[in-house]
Amino acid sequence: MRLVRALDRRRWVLTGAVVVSIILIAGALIVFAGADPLLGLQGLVDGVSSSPYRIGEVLVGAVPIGIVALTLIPALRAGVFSVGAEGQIVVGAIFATAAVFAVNRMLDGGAPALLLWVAGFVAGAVGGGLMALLPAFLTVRWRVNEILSTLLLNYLAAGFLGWTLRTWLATDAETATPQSDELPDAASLPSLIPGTRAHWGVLLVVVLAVVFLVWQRSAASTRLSVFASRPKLALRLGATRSRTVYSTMLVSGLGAGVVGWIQVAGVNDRLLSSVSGGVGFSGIAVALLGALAPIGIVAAALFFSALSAGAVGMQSATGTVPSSIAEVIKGVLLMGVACIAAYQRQPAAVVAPAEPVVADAPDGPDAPGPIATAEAEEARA
Amino acid sequence: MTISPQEAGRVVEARSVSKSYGPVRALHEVSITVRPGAVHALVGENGAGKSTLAKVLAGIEPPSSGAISLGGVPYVPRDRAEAKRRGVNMVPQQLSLVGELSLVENYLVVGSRPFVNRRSARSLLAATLDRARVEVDLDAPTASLTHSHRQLGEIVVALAEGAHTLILDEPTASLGPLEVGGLFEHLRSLCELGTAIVLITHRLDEVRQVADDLTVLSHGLEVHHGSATGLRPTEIARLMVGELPELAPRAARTRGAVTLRAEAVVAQSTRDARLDGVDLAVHAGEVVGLAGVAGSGQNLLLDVLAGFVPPRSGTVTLEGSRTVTITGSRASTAAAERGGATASTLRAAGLAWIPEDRRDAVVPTMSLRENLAVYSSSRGRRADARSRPQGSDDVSAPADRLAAFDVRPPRPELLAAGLSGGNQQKLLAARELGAAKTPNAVLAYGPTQGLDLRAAQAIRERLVDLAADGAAVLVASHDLEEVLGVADRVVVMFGGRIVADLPIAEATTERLGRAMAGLPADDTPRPAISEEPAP
Ligand SMILES: Nc1ncnc2c1ncn2[C@@H]1O[C@H](COP(=O)(O)OP(=O)(O)OP(=O)(O)O)[C@@H](O)[C@H]1O
Ligand SMILES: [Mg+2]
Repeated sequence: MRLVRALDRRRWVLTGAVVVSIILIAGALIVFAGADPLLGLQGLVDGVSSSPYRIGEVLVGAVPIGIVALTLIPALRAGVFSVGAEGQIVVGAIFATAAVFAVNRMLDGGAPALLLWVAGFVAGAVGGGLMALLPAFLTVRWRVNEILSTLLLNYLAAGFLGWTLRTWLATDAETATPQSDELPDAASLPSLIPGTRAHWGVLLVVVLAVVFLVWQRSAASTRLSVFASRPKLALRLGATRSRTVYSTMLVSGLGAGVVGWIQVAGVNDRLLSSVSGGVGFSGIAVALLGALAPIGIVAAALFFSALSAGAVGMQSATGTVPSSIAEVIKGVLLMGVACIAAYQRQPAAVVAPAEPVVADAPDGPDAPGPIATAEAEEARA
Repeated sequence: MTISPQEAGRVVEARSVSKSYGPVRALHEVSITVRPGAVHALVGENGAGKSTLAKVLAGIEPPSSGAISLGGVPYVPRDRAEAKRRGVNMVPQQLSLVGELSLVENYLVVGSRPFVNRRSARSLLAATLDRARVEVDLDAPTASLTHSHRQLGEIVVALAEGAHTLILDEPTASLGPLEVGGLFEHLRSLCELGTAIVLITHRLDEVRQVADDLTVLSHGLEVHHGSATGLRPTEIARLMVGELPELAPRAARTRGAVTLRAEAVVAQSTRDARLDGVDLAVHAGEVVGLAGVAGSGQNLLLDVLAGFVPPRSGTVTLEGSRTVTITGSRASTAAAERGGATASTLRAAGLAWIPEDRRDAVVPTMSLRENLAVYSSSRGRRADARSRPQGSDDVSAPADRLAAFDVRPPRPELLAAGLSGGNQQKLLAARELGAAKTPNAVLAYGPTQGLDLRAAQAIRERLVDLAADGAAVLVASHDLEEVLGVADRVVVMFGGRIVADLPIAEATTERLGRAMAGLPADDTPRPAISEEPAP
């Protein structure tokens, strides 16, 4: 169809414009910091790919972001905007750490690795899940806005972590920052690529991506899209508000909780106060950047992680460009994606092939978000 | 009619305007002249291009080719805001109010005024409402208003904004006769002050009632223009859709057992609407019409019957292969959630549903095929779908089903957003009324709204056919004619109660009108409502 092609072309032009402006802005920032852009670029590339270890670092960084983003797919598809992954990671990490220590103590330090992994995985998932069910309950029972409640619960979780690291999980050793004891050796995740920190969590991302690829074609996925835009019709499909909110937020909570365990057992080997480190928020950005499609999300997660790793390389190569340039570029990128998404909502885009190759943006041209009272007639945006 | 020089500066004239959406040619070389001080009716069958022409004039869509002039100078609005600045405003077919905001706030949001004053905005809207002799809550979030009040609100906001050319795209599709009367009086008085009005409608008696000029579109072509005075609706109809097929004579139907029953239902929805002990029985093989002025509780009754709103007390029963019963309980969030669960059980038990607002039921971002097959994604469907042979039900041959309901264009891969308003209504009917298995019961609110004469007749016949096949059909509407056209029995609601129940032979407009206004059936001066014992 000619129209589709024309639209595609314009979309590519727009995407190209976004990429060019990112390069220009990044270049300007580097020059402004008093460095040679080409040297900076060289540092960026080296930071990502100069050694297997560095490639491993990119993978290590992409794993938590990827898992958070993938498990957010159902919630965002249903228009349930949970921003609580940060807090869920924290609680998952606390639960996982405590469970690993408890199991290990019970078996007098001789617990087998497999048992410790399972204990950490399950406890992390339970912690993250519980942390997600609380705002879900508030939303369903009293219609507390889920963005607000999940956001505020993040602070609660951070406070709880600080308290935990100074009291019941604090290490006896003298350390500069509050932290827990080191986990028993058997509890840490084995590395996937020797000589790097890349651990088995990488495989979990692959598994989740495949699972969500299949899930996208399921009836449940359709129900969630209908719920987001047509709450009454969704009721006839059996997608009630409580069912939808609980199930989607639980999935994202489980994912974030497991990330908490992975960060403790796979990366840091102990519970640190920086365990979540903004991964929860990056996860939301990556989910949107990847247009809620599993492949797109994996690519976006790798890209985000590579940008952070590369910026460190750039900092050491130029000496003057701070690595926080990565955050600026991510911000510009997100704005660009928002522009492309807004452009795609143009009404002219309605003649399209039926089978969506890539998932739709989180909300369609006239999705007002979930205002799903059975009683209230639907609000129109 | 003479045109003053000042008015001549405001004539909107489109010459040979074309508009294509990809392969779809919505308008082809259409010309129209909209003159000040007159109502210009724009009619044509569903998908003829009326809304597209309106959008082109109002700056919402750019034409593919052709020229438009305003008062003799070229008029190429870049967007709706610019068109508004030039004095051309439009009320779209798909309402555009922001649901979370009240009408006053909506008015403040759309305006391009540098300073806004809430109080003066409110009094301006109130005065406009007053002149149109309608009452709409100005301060409630528009999402909580009824569909017809939202429609009126949208019109009132546009009227208050003030424009010399006002385009109304099917403003009356969801309004009752009382509201239409007030609205038209107001439009006429605006015309006398020199406003030009373009009125898109499928109700041809309205054309005769208010229009001065007439343009008829068909398949994107302009097939007639001229004066509207002196044209009879049948002549207009012939211009639009050719000869209408004769209405099939009503076949005798046997009334079976009660399929859908409400007993002493008490319910309360968000705002004023409530049910005050409603008893209603719809038998298999029968079409019951539900009439009443807006806000009498018909909406809520249908929502209760469909399982969206749990009743406070009383029961709702649907007989079928299995019997589903909803029993009232204290309204709470938990109960509302259980209400949601019942909506899907009722659907599974064979309840078809055409809501008052088609946008509650059509998903624009899904293709026609996906819209038709949306129920195959119901919870718990997978298990029984696997055991059944493939393709036995809804998903089979979507193109045939679209063609059977005359959805144009009948291309299953098209997104529903690309259909004209009336064709979206046909799509909805195709899903709810076109399944291979006859539904046990049908709840339809204004099932023919936005449809042209031919399509409306087809849907009416379909409803009657379903009844003949044993379905219990309940048709509600603000439009008495729509009810009288299909019903075997007419039930009238007023103030949350059923105040009259008349077989079609006795349902004269006069008797129904009295009942709808809450007056007693006979002439004794005694109010029907206050006499009833309080529950
Ligand atoms: N955004 C769009 N994308 C693709 N096709 C469209 C779009 N909008 C309208 N069309 C097509 O253009 C034609 C004219 O549509 P239009 O909405 O103008 O009809 P209409 O006369 O208003 O009909 P109705 O009485 O049903 O509202 C239809 O065939 C429709 O499918
Ligand atoms: Mg239209």
